[in-house]
Amino acid sequence: MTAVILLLAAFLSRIAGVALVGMVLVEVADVGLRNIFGIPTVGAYEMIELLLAAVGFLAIPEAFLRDSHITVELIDQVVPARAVDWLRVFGGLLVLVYLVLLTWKMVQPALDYADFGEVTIELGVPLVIPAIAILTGIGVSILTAAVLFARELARLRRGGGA
Amino acid sequence: MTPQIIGIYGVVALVALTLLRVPLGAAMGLVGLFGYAALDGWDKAFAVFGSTPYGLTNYAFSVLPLFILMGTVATRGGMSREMFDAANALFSGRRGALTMATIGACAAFSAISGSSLATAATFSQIAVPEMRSRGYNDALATGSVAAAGTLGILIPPSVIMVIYALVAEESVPALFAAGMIPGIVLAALFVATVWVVARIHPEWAPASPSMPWRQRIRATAKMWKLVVLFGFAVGGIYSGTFSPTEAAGLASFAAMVIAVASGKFGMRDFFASIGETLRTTAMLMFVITGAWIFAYFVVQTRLPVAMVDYIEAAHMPAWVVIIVIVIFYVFLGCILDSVAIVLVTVPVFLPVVTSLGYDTVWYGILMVVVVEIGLITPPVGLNVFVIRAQIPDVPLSTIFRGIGPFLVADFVLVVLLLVFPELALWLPGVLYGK
Repeated sequence: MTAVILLLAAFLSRIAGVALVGMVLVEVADVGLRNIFGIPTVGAYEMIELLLAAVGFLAIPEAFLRDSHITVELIDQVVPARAVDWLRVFGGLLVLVYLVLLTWKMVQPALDYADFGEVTIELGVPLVIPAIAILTGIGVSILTAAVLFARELARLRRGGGA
Repeated sequence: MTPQIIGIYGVVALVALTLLRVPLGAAMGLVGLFGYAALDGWDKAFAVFGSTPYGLTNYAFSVLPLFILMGTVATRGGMSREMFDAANALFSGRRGALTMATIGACAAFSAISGSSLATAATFSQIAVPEMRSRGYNDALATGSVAAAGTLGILIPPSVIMVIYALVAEESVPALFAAGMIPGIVLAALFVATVWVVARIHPEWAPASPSMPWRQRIRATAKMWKLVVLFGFAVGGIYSGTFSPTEAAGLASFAAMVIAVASGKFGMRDFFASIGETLRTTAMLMFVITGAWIFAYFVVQTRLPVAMVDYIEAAHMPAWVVIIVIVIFYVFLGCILDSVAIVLVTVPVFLPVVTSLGYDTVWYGILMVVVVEIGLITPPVGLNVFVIRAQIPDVPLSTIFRGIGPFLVADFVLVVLLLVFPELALWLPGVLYGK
């Protein structure tokens, strides 16, 4: 199960990577066409916003796995290592609660995008597409945060250490 | 319970959760959700909570991954080494030349990298071993890199300035313009600090042989990559040719082309740069999501308005309030990360500062300067930890001792900004009439 989650997170990061390269290329094409050939690129702004949904959110699950999130570790120098292990579990639990609540409450706005059939102005891309990317990134983060939480619990049971 | 009291409880809860090791994004999001629910009920709170992430794909945010990408490519493409060699050639012949060169190179590298940690990490690998091998004192060698690394977030482009601009709804170009002169002044103050330290402790900073001018010019000519990238990244924005996002996209593309052409950037570096950029961007988006939810809650409590009313009722002079805020930021910088400080405090303090008649661009620069002090002060001096991780045989106490003189330079800049706000506001005024 864990292996599947890790693969899923890596897969989403790959999509985010492609989207990042896409952002760079869209900007280069847009500026180049506009300034050198005088041809305005239709929908460049919208393309960037659509790609940003993938770049910004699809890599969040892997960022969790790599423990990249900002955490203030000041207390580590003050309390015993065992207490730090407990705090890591506490922090992991709150992250899980947060992500579950967020994903749950993000579903309805995404359904609204689909129901109302809203589209971007220039390209006519349905707004539900970036919404799905954002929801997927946050939703899959529940799984990776759960893997991290399970690791912290296991560490606590072992009595601490790496 | 009044909304302001709920707001105060919320801020206290946020600080407590953060200090208890809860990841910042989750802490801010949960406090924002529960706080707003206490104010207006769960239906409204959940509605704001669930829709917030969808608002973060605004075009303005796209500048973040693109500038981060440019910095990671420049780092992996080995451009920092050439900057160090060029700066070393320029300062050669002086006592402490290598330390001055480190500061010059950090300042130059800051012009293509928006991150203090990246700057400190890069130059701790390049400059510190070289200084130590030439007999420089460990405290001076490591302290100078830690301090000069902070130039990364002051000299544009700067990731933290972009985040401030997004939170404060301020112009990124204006902030990038405002940071330039204070950044150069701080770099000059750091060089002056090295000069003073080298005079007091000549044994800490040996004299280096002077290089012939032809060699200096040849080494300096290698800085063309910096000029090209800076031209795209910041020059294009200053001149109004490109929007910040366009400039960031072009500059990251140019960085890749230059790095590949230099033969120092292969596919492995490319994928590593993409991976690093994605992780940093994802981490920022996660935190910004929480910060947006928290900021919405703070605004609803009208806590900033109550603070303004209190200050007006107390007839406190504006400069006293600003000094109190600066002291508070220095304290916060000792315990919180710079992104956290900006995201947590701007919604609370910005209305207070603007009500006192101060400019939001000036405040942004002042805040960045004060926040960067936190990067080199104990106990959460992130730049120091980055250096320590790469040079484990130098004790933390030695690094902090070396930072001491540079902190004086930082505080001199804070005073200069307070006394002469034009230091930050002159260039945006000239460029944008701001």
